[in-house]
Amino acid sequence: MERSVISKGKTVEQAVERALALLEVSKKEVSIEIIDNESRGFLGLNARPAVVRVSLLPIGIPEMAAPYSSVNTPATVISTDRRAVGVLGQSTAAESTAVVTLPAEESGHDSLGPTPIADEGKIWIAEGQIAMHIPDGASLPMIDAFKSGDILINGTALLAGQSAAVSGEDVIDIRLAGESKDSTWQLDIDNDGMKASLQIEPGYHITRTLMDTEPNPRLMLRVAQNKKPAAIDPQEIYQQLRAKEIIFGMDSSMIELACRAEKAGRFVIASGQPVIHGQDGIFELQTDAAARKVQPKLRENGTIDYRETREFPSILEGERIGTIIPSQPGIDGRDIYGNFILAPVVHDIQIIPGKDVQLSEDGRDAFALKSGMPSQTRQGHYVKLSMIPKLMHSGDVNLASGNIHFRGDVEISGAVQDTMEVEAEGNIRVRGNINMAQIMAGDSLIVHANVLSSRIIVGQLQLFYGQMTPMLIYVREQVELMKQAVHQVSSASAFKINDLDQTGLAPLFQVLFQGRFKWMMEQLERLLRLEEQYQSALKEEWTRYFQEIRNGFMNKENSTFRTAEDLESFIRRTNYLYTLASAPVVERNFARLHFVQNSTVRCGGDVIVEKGAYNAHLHCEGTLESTGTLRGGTYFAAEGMVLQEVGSPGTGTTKLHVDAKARIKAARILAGTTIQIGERIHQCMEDVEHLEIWLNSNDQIVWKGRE
Amino acid sequence: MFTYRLELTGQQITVYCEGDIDIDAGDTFEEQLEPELAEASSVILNLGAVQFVDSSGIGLLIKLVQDLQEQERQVWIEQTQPEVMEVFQLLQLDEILGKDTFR
Repeated sequence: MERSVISKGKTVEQAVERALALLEVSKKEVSIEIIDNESRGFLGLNARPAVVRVSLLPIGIPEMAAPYSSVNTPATVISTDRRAVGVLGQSTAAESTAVVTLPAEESGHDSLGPTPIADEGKIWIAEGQIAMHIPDGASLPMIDAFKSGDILINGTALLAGQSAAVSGEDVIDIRLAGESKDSTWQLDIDNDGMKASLQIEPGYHITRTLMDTEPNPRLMLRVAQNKKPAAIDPQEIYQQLRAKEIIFGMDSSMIELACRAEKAGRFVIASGQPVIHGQDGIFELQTDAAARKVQPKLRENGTIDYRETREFPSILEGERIGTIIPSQPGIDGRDIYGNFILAPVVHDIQIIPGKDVQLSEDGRDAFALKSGMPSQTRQGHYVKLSMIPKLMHSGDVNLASGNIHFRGDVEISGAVQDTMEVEAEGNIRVRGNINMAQIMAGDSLIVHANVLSSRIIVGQLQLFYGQMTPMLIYVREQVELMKQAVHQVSSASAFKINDLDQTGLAPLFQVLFQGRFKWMMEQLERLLRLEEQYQSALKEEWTRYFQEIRNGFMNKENSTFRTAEDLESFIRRTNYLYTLASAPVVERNFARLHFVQNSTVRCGGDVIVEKGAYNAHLHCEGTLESTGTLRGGTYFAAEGMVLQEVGSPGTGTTKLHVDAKARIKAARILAGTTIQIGERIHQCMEDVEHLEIWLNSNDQIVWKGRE
Repeated sequence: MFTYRLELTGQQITVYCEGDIDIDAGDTFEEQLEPELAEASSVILNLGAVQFVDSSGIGLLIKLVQDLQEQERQVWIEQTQPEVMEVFQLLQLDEILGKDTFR
């Protein structure tokens, strides 16, 4: 009986050698049939081994008893019948054609393969099932396992790379394992209950199916793979939403989309309805609209031209001062739990007509009964509106006209001459020169010509507030500490308080002022000097406060403060005035000057110098802007400076000074100019162009510019 | 009621104070005690028998000590009762009169 071995190898030669070794014979004793030449495939894909059949020539060599492995894996007995994998003994196939169905459908199809070819059994896949045709006497077809566990023959799995010969009697089970991963999701709700979102990590199902093949002596399974995302059941989501009591603003189409998502992502599936804020009613001045039409112009060098915007609002008799714009209510919102979120209540505003103001019948419009400047103060939902009269003075202010003191605005068409004084609670406009005179404007000042050897004070109240604020903070702190000291010492067992009935806290203050509160007296004295300086501009509440300081702290023999509680109420009044002084001002004061020489200018707001200044002493709580040249003198502007040229070649020094947080910008600064920012001083040794200078967070001077 | 007793040892006067140093002690301090100390180069104020003080009294004490110090004379305050010392400390008398004054 013929014995043959089918052998595989990387090359035909290798396959033959293996077969010879197995049969323990020499090449002369066998016939060799090449079944398949090797193929390297592409990048190792589809690489096929060479397959040869080596048959012993019939010369009566005894049968091999042991099973053989056809490949370079150890021999594996995979069935309990006579045959072993890979070794083809005598043909045992009884039937000529066998159809092996997968165990699950054992009673399935009985399809026949294509026309059988003599002496070779064939195997193939048809409609997903294994089919075989093994004619009598034909060699058995082979199955190659590509992946371990895919193919089970009589219950035993083939490992990857193994092959097996099969007959119709074998139970061939092909198990194409699918793969799947469940989708995961998480419902997140924003803290404010306005948004719920799903974080989706989609899973998948992979199914593998057999593809049909042509009949062949060897079967390599061809497998089709199908990957589908694993969908989430929307009902799970709805259930979770119900559990979280989310009922409003759900987006069912977004939930659908999220459930079927193929990529990980976040899906907003419920959104609340945000509150739409309304607007309070406002009072709009007619002049606001007119004045704001003129936008400040940006000059080429980056500075801003304020000149066109800095004008006094003024309204003629009978003209409308302004209109109330009614409030607009907001729209309530809802969160995703269905709770309503109320829009903030809006308020209408009401005009209280003051001096020379008349309202329309519906109270919406205000009209001026006299020409002048409108003045509005806001208290809660009321606007108190009055007209400040304007004094027109034609010609010069001189000995003939006398000084001007006016509780309103003043406009002077001429000059203010030697030793004369003009004082107004409102604005002052002077069209001529101011020469060796004094001007005091409660609000703002515009001078169209020159200020020579004069003294100018503008926005006194703002100036006063600016200097008062830090002092009030100090007083508040110190008196608070004094209050505690009084408390402490009063509760000491050896301390008698009888004398305080006669003298108040005065004797105790005298002791404290020598000890822990050494600097207090000096500060209080400075405070009282301010009062003297600004007396004329101060209202009664300030005068009363200063009187309280005098009677409470300054008298050595007697004090109106008798207990710690008295100090407490003093602290409250200090605090009230602090709030008043530190409150941001609606209308900033300003002084717009043309040219200043040998003069002192103090302004509570901003100062604009158009042509320039020569040897001036200028102090302002706002910003200083100059479009001319500053030559000599001292210039302080708390909030910063934007300047053109600064410095004085050969003629004394020029000093610029701003607060620590402010900056100085200048187109050109000449050598010899001193710059002070906060406490830091910088001396310019060279001319610098396009200078910008400020303090960094380490309190160091930083500047950029071109020397 | 404030009273005192003097003890003279060469150029040094020890003032033994008794009673409360308070507003009522003002006359005694200014009209009697101060003139009596005019000659001494060093003064010791013994407060061992002083139980109470008030702010006016402390003022008097400060003024007395400072006046003497200005005349470049040595002043010490000694045997102060702990309760009285507490008041002195709260009002920082040691800062005002100098730490060395108390002993």
